[in-house]
Amino acid sequence: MAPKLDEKGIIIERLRQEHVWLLSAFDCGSESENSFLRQDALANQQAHLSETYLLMEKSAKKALSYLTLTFGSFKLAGDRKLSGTKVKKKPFRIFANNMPCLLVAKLATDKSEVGRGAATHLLKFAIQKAKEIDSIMALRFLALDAYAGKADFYQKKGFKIAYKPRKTDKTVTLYLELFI
Amino acid sequence: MARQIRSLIELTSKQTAEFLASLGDRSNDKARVKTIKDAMKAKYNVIL
Repeated sequence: MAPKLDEKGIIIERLRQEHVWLLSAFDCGSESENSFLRQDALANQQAHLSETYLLMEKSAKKALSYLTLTFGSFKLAGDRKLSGTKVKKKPFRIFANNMPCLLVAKLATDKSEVGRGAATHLLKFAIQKAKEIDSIMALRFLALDAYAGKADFYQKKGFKIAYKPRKTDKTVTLYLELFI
Repeated sequence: MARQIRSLIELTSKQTAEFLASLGDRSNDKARVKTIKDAMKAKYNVIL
């Protein structure tokens, strides 16, 4: 395996038309993530619906990993009974049904580059973006849907599972509260 | 993750209760705080 990626050795670039030639070589092993990057990411960005960032080594023009961010929301059930839930603070009182979040819509690493820390760097970058937004308009959560086998990676970083997944769910919804 | 983005995380009553309960769970808070502090220290070369 190639060595761990150092902050100084990498560059994060917002996806642009000039990157398109790079994308066909990207293969994270998941067709849905590959297809999204090749076919949807730039179009979504041009439509102001999501933002995609590529992580590359300064020494080589190759997309090692990519991150797509957009806004999302937890939509709470309207018939919930709050009494009895073990919540110390209830900031959700101000939201009738929705709690906004910054959503890590996609985070994928080329399978030949797994284990070098690319996803961790992009996650840090996502947290920086979320904190920037939080500083101007208040944002409590960074959230994502992770494949069940990847949930541990996020939990070790302090993400919490939003709710117990059903047996049929392929993904687990996790969130990170952004305040310190 | 599916190719399509699920931006609305719609919770059932049971999931809503679990989610709200999880907000008060501070058992893994050290890891969370460390993650955020580490992220804020990182300096990336970014081209927008």
